Amino acid sequence: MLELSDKILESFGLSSQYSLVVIIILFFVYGLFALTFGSLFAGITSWYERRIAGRMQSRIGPNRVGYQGFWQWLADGLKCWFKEDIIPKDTDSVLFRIAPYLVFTGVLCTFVVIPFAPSVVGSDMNVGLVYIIAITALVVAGILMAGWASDSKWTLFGGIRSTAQMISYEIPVALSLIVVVIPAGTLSLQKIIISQGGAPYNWYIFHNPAAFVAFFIYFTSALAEGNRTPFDLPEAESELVAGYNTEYSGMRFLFFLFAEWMNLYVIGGIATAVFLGGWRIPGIAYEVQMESIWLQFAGFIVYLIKALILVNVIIWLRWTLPRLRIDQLMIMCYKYLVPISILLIIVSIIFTILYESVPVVGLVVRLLLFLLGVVIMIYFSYRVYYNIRNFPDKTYLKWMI
Amino acid sequence: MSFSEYFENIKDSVVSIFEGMAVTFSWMLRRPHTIQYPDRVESGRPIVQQKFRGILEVDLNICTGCLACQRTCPIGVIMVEVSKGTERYITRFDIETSKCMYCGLCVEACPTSAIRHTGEFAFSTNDIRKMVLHFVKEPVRPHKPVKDAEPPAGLPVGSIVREMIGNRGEEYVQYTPPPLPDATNKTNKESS
Repeated sequence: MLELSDKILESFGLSSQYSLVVIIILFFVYGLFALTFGSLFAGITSWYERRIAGRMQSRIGPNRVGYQGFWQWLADGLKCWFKEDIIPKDTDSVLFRIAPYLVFTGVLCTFVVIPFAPSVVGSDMNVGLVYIIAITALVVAGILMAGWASDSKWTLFGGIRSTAQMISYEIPVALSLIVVVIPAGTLSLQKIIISQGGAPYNWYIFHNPAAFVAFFIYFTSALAEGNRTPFDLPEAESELVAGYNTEYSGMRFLFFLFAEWMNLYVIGGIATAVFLGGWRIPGIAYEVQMESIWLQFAGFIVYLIKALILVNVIIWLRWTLPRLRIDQLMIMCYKYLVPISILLIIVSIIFTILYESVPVVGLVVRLLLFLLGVVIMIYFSYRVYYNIRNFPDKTYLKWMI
Repeated sequence: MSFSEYFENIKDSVVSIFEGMAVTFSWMLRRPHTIQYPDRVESGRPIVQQKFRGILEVDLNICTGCLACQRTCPIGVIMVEVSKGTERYITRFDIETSKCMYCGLCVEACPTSAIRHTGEFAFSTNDIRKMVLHFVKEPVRPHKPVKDAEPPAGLPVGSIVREMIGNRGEEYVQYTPPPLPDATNKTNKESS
């Protein structure tokens, strides 16, 4: 941002005393961009998720508003816009009003450090990962506020469950990210991306066996931190009547959902940046990519595709796995994920030292892990084929209905 | 919890999640079972199941006029009249579909399978009296089954009732209500 503001000042021939104004305008523009991107993403994902849910349950899903029901998310938004904004009588009205915006802000603030393209990033902080873990605590506060202020048993249960869950799962998130921070040597997301290569076997997920496992641990605990199924205990529809957002209606309710769906992109985006090579394009050096605007755009597309694939996996998991019980959730966190990720940190340290002394080992291990990933994908497609073939009802490939 | 149990749990969860995701993904590649009746019906795909209990119809070519269906019907949907005398004629065979609860008892009681369910279901109208289906257009002789002989093949299932109801259901789907009385006239009346 600072370099960009200097460039703008130069091109307009202004003196450096205007730099603050230019920076504020730039931040405002970037904020608008992130807000628009996040909201559009959340809206379209709400339609997309329902379509995917339908197909996985042999239904069709919303397909009436526009082509394949694409404008369903706009119709739902308009509906919520015109709904009456009900605030129950005995609520703590100030907290009740603030809570949705706190949750929304907590998720949106992570867009400050999540890069879109090589030079499109709000602020390339040197403590980026710590910032993300810290700022998402706002979500916990917001959800607890919503649960408390609604003056309802269900919402309070939801709020307390959510606090317990999100605070617990911040630990494995942080620990599994450290596994990658050790070889990268930095906490800044841009620098982590730069230190990876473009080709898949240069990504940090294939850097060493510890990072390979850490990716899955990060993914699982990020799901739990974002209250997504199979860890959606705070808003368990069937048990808690939607948990902390029971008493909300209209746009306030929609803000919770915005936060939930934007969080999908945040999970996918961080995993892409840290583990999957971010915006790097195979075979193109980092400096070359910084120079050309078209390569920057290509980097944006590459980043988006990787993040969207992960978002797809999250949606797909939601319609595959049943919800965990609260004790199982805590056992999974404190007995499995935390000890394993601490072990992974030690393994990662050993491998990093080994690679520095014997660089050939690094290449061999990376290629082997990449091969393992390919084998897993091939075996997975075989299992899908097996499931289709062994189903009595003969199947049809039909994408759109 | 022993060590082996600990690793067993990890292995179990990983394998079951892997297999479960393969199952759900395989459903992505299949056609949904949903039929979008009535406006997006695919041609060549049956709307109802094979044993669907739709509107009752009677094939008078094989009806023996035994009145078994009328007697067995719990709510008196079927009304059959057979003229007495040396020459028996079926003079009336009405099925009041607005009352029918599609239990299928008459179908089971019928000795020649003359009365049967069809796959038709779209026959809603504005007038409840149109729901009574009159099967006898002119008096017919009842069928006399011959012993140890093949029963005669009746008309194809659904052909009779389809002819009677026509495209009544589709008409109702496209039904537009009559225009409301003119608003200006109404206000004039109220003011005067």
